[in-house]
Amino acid sequence: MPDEYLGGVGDAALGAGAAVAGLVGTLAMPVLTAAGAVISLGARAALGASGERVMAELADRGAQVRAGLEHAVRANVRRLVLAVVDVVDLTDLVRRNVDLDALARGIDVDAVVARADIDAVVGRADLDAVVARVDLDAVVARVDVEAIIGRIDIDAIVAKVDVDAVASRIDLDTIAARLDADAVVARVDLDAVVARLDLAGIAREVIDEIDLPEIVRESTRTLSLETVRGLRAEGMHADDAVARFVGRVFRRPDAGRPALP
Amino acid sequence: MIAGSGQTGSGQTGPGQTGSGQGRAGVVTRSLAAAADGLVVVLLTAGVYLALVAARFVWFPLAFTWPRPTTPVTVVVAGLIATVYLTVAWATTGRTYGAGLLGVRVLGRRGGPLGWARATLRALACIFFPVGLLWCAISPTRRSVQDLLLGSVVIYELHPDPGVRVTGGSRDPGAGPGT
Repeated sequence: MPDEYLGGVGDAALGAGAAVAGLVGTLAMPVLTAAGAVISLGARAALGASGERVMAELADRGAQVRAGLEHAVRANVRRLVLAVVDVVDLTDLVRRNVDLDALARGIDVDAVVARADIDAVVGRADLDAVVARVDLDAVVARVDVEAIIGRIDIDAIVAKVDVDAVASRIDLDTIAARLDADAVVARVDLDAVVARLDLAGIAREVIDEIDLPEIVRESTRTLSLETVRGLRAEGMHADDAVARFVGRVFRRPDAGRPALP
Repeated sequence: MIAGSGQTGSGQTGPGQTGSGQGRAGVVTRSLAAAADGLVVVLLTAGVYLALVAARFVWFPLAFTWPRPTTPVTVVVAGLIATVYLTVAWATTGRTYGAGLLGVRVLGRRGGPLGWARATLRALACIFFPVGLLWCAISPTRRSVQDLLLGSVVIYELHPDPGVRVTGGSRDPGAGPGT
């Protein structure tokens, strides 16, 4: 141990001793003074003074003593403690004598966190600087993406998706407007498509589904009805034409009147 | 021969008609109807002939030969068929096939059906004197000789159902050969 250190410690010890002696003296003096006063009051009480007066004086004296003691303690305790702290290594003392683990176990971390103003802390943090220090490439290189994908339950995620709601948000008109239908059609191999089609089978199915005889009958009926109507109309016009001609020949006054109103 | 379209008779007007002949069928329409009825009679005659042939083949299969009816026989048979055809049509619905096709109807002087007697006489008159139909072209009331003699009229009836019977100026449902 160095001599300087030993000398410093000796001076500190001497200073502490002197301070303690001064403190004891300072503390003892009011006590002694009070004791003398008490003895004097006891003698006077014993010599016949009234008890009430004596008790009042004792109370006043006790209050003065208590005030003096408090003043003395306040004036000297600080100096005493500082002197002791100069001498004693508190950190080492705490390490040796305090069970820090027990203290830590006694701390209610949740309560501490609940009291902490995280927003304020985050507000003070310079996230840009933090992010600038992070080597994202290195972080990403360490990530096992395949393992993450393997853990994801795609079916469960898809089952949660409301496809109807998603589809209702899609503006198909806008998408269709962007499509280049000509380009799409140009890529289609129509010959291959037609080659795959069973045209004969499709035609058979269509014919089976359609009541062709009924269509033919209906068409024939409609055509016949139209023909008959046309024939009747032409016949009436011809009748009127003949009637007008005959009426002109015979100079009839109503030769131009039609047969039907 | 047939004159399936009727001819007019008494000069009285039926319901919906005027004395000037408005609503009455003219010579062209009635001629076309008569032509159609003539075709019907020809087909009926051919049918009768085939039926007789079939019957003959059934009864005399070994001695079967195609019958060769003479012209008078053919004419008589065709005349009988035409008489029956026209009589039944005019007495029941007032419409032959040709009349239904052209949209005309034969009625009595009061707008009702002709009746069997007048229908028969009118059929015979049309068969033996078909030229009388042409008088409706000259008549201001569009009446043929047969119409004048038997008191009948031929009117346009152009509603879609050509088989509706007209009785007393009202229409009653009833399909006839004119359909």
